[in-house]
Amino acid sequence: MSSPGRLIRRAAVVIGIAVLAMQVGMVAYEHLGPTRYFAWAPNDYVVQYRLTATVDGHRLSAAGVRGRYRVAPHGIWYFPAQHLVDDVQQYERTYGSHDRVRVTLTYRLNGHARQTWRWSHG
Amino acid sequence: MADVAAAAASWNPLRVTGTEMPPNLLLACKLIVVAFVVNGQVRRLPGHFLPFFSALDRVGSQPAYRHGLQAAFVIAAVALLLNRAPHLAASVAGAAILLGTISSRIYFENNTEYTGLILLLAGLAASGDRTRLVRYQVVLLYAAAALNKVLDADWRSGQFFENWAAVTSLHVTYHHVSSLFPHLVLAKLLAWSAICTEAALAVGFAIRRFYPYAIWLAVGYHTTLMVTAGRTFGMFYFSLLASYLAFARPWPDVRVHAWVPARLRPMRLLDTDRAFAWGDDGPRLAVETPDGMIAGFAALRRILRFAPPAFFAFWILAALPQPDVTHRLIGLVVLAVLAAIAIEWAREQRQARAPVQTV
Repeated sequence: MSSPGRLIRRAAVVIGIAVLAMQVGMVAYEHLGPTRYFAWAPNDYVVQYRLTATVDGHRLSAAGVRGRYRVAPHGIWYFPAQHLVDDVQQYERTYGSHDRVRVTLTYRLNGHARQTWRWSHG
Repeated sequence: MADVAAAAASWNPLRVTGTEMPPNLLLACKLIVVAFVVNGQVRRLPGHFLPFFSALDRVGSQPAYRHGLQAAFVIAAVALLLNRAPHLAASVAGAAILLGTISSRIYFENNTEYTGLILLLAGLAASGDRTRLVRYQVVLLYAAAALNKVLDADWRSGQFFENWAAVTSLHVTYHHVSSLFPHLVLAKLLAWSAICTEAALAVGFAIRRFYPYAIWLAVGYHTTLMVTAGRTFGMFYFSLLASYLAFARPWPDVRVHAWVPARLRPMRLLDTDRAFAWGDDGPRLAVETPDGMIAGFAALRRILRFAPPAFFAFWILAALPQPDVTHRLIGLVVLAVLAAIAIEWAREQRQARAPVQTV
């Protein structure tokens, strides 16, 4: 095999090792906070939730919530509830930043007491 | 060497030998892409919507981005299936899935992330021990999964399991059995079983002599979950089982002698890679191994192990969209096969320990 070919192959392996090392770093980092993205926590949570939103004074229907955030307006979420919070927050800070919005997320994690998270702007 | 391999590679999707990628790994990649297509996952690849990196929001329109990912995946999948540049094809297919994962928080799931990573790492492992990156990924997955559970108070106390069982379709059975024990005792027992199993798998997949047992335990564990929950957790079941091929017995370098009775002759069609030199019809199914002749179920297992069509049939059957009940039935069949393998292992152990009689 030619030398450049061998070099590319070795570089590919090094990239692969870097991908694995990055995951180890992500696992450690995610355990410092509440999210567990890329931390190999598959289906480790049961979050029963309900998401409602009012945009420019109009309460969104179930289809409206689904259309805006691409998330079911209620149901079971198998990741930390912080993922839902992050989705809504990112939407409202970017695509929806010009709207007057009130969002309420009520949820129960693993059957514990109900919690409520609210967001509003505009 | 790569050019020679490429020239010898067959265009037959059912063949996995003759390329620069180890046959086990190529088979794993093919099974994953086939399951991804059959399971309807190509349609689910997203455009950029709530990406993890805001810069991705500025890369073309959402539909164009989505179609780009889908096209990249499909072209790479076809190349993989036809044995063309398998390392590059696997890398591209995996990268398309991973790009989708970081392009949309809504799309993010561990099962698609794992699927993308296995393909990417299989593709990147282009020199040296080519299965090692995938093997390390499997160990990392189980170690991190066990760690997350053991650090979570709700897992340790059984609180998670009690609530998870309540939302599965087996909740009535679970609560009936659970009511026979003090509060949370069954939940705690099952939660700790899962934690210990995942920790054992991390160790088992890290130590070569434990590979066969780790594969057996992992297939049993995930199949039990499938039977219990009635679902495959997206691509998890297919990608996990395929990735265990990186730990499996390597493809034979030379053709091995095998015999089938006349009535089972069509079985020879499964040998698409010509791993076996078929003898004249024998009285029973038999395969010659370095340790001697094996027959019956052991021979069947050995033949099917190197029969890509059998793998494809199972993966397609399991990945097709279907009701919970058929997933459960498929799972029960797999558990029955695992039980038969365990019985055979136990018999082999007994025979190995039996005193040798001299005449």
